[in-house]
Amino acid sequence: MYSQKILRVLKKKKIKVNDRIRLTKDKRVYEGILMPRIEMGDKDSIIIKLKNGYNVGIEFDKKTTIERLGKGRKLGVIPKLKIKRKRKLPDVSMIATGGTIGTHVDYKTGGVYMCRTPEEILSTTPELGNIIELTSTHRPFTLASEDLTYRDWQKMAKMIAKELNSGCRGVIVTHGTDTLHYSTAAMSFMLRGLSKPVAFVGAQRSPDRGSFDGSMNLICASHFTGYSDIGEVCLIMHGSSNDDLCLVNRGTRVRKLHASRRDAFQPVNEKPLARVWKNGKIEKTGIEHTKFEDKKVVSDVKWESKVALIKAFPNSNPAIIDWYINKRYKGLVIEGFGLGHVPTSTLRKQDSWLPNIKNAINKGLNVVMTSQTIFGRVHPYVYRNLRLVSEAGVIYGEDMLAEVALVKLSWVLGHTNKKEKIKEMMLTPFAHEINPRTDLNSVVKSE
Amino acid sequence: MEYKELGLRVGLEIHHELDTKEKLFCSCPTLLKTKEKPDLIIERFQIPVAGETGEIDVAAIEEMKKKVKIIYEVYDDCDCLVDTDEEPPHEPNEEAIKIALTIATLFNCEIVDEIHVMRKTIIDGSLPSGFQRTMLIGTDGWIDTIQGKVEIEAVSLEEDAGRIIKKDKNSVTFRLDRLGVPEVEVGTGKGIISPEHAKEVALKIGNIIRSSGRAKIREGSVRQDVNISIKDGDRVEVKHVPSLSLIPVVIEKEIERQLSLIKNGKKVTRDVRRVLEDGSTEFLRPLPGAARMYPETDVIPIKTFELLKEVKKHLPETWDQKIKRYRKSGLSNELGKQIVKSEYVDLFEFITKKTKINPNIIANVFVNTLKDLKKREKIPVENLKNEDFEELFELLDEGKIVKESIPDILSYKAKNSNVKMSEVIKKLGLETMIKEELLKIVKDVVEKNKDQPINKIIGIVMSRVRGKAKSKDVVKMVRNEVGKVY
Repeated sequence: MYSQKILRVLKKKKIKVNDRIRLTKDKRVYEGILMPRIEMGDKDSIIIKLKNGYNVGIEFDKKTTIERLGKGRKLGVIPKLKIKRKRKLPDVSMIATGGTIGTHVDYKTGGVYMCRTPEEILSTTPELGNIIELTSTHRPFTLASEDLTYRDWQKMAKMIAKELNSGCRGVIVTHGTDTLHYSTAAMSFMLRGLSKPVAFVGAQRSPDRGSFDGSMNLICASHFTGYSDIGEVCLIMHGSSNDDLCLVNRGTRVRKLHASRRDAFQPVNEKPLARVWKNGKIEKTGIEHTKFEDKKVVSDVKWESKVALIKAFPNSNPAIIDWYINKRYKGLVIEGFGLGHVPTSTLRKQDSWLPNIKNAINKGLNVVMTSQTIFGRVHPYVYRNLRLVSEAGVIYGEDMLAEVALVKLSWVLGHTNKKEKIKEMMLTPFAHEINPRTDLNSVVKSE
Repeated sequence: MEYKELGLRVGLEIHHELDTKEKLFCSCPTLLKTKEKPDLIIERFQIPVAGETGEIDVAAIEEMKKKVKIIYEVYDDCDCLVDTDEEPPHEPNEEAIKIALTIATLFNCEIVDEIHVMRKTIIDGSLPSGFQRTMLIGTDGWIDTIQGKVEIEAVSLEEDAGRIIKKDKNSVTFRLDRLGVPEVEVGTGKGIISPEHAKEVALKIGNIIRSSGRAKIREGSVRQDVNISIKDGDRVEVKHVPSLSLIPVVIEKEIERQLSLIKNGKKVTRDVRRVLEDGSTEFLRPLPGAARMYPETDVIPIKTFELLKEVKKHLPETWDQKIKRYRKSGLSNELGKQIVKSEYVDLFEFITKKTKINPNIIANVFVNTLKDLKKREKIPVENLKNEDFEELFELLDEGKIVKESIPDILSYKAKNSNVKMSEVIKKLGLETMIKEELLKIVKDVVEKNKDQPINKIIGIVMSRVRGKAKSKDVVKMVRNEVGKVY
């Protein structure tokens, strides 16, 4: 938005954004299209798009005059790809939920809007039409992934189940990347009896650029949903910085491990299930998985929202736990240190988390321990401090990722409030989120 | 040829890398690859993207059809995740913006109040992002040339692209060391009236950019694109004309090409063309439309007011201004033109101020003597330090050496850099003789060569006292002595 000063002048001269204007200031004359003011920068500067394509900002002061020359060129719409039915390829459904992969850059302002329909997403990757038959496309909502809640997951799960039960072979879900691994975990628990491929796909580079990574992710997701015999919720994105292959990562064993790289999503404590090449080659890594079967899936979306994830850190104040107790929370997942430590035998009594954890459990909260090391497995007995915490009744979450434990605890608490049942369910794998064996190579290394 | 009647229009785009410590949008150094093998090879493909008007650019479609694999050679000492398109750009390099503001001011441009960084879609793969970040700094400038005023339409600052290493049917390889190095682009408007004039303008633009003192001088740091059109023809852009002297040739050949197309009733298409060795050109791709620029939203706009104030305080002299000033102090025009381009120009200024030596002698050492020593005798003149030259000219100023001995002293010093300058002179026996000593030699030679013509006698004396006495003194003394004898 421009400053009031500029808005008044524009109103008086009946000049609107996208009009052709002439700005005169001292000896300087600029002709071009009036651009809207972007959020950043000086609100007292008028942004004008010159004939050579450049935008420049000209500070509007007493010496500046502005004239309207006419209407600007009408800008075109985003291309859409019509879905043509070929009836020879596997039927796959697409659900677009938002995120970078579903952004539309307004080329005029550079503003990024999340308003792409599945058809628009397809226009970035027309190759999909030669791989799968897109029988239907849906847009339940359009949100950046950081704005999603469990209610959106519930909607998503129901929609995926409906699509799969109406006969398609698989579903592709386009999604923002920041919380993508929470969503894949949620879908892994909510879709009971799943036996068809559900591929979550995101992008780290937006579709306005030639280097849009979502294009290959979509291609690989199409091969996966159309042809793979893996019947699970998977996350399919770049395996490396190269545009050659994608990893098929299990929805409960994957995490965003980098803020911006294409290959940000890497498996944790497990190999990827498979690798998919752009040309359709699918190479499985030998991990046991649910096999493809044409049978019905149930969306079981019961949920307890009063569950939190907290992180232990040096100098932390355990009173945070009391806050959750007072707010009547039902579950807490702690990201402890190493094997599952929290400050326990501290020199100052008030620094220890132990009394607060005991209090939480006495008040009926269910506490699950995970590790902030990301990789590895927690252990309740190795050190005395661990024993003290586990004796207090904390559930040690094995090799579950903290984020997965959070999602699972919310889902489990949606089903039962019996302490023993909760513990049993938390330690029973529902979607391969726990593995009694840890893969030898399950850590990200530099080379 | 009557260029005016032909409706010839020529536009130049001169790109020049800037000598900054860091790249334009990250903290990588601006050096070129320092090792034989890249640390990382990345393979990518690029997709065609819709332009501002919602249409996919013609140029992008051409390129898309080819579906080539793009291979990047990445070096860990000069590339980071920003270069490989794996991290958003950092804040733009203020040093580079200041240099660009300086250069735009030297071109008499009007500076914009707020710089907006744009993404220019580039579809050849030379930038891993698929676009080049560029920003307009100034507009409506001008330069004076012998054939009249030429408009400088725009000065912009942009990131350099990767350089192409090889290309075949299925793949193209780019090296990413150069990617992201700041470069200015200077584009001309009206005023170029002939192919020869274009060459003069290109030279002048290059000189002004280098006047900033912050232009990067290395292989490939300058690129010249030439836009050409004639009446009934159309605009054609010839990329990367490798030398100034080829500019008029390229223009002449393009005029001929367009004329012959027009004569045969064919349409001139808006092409980007590649220059061949003889100055003729071949089709590269269609000229991209204007629709390929949109805002870079990862970088916030930059106000220029404060930066410009600072820049104007330290505005460098242009080369023209410098040459003029040198001429006033007695330096010949020719040596002036050479010394401003020389890496020793600052040292030259320092020594002319500090001593009373004729500036032509000092400039001659820097532009000619050193070159001769290096070229003909393979002397490592790069070993010579500023202090060595200062000492040398001090000795000359004090009359302790003669100018004829300078090449010998410099070549000895360059090869023996730990020997002191005063020692060098002693070792070479090049200290100036006292008058009595010289007179003794002159008397002796004249005595022994009574029958010889005077020039011969001077020659003999010179060969005995070379580097120890001024030739002026020798001539005077010989004349005097010979006069006495006869």
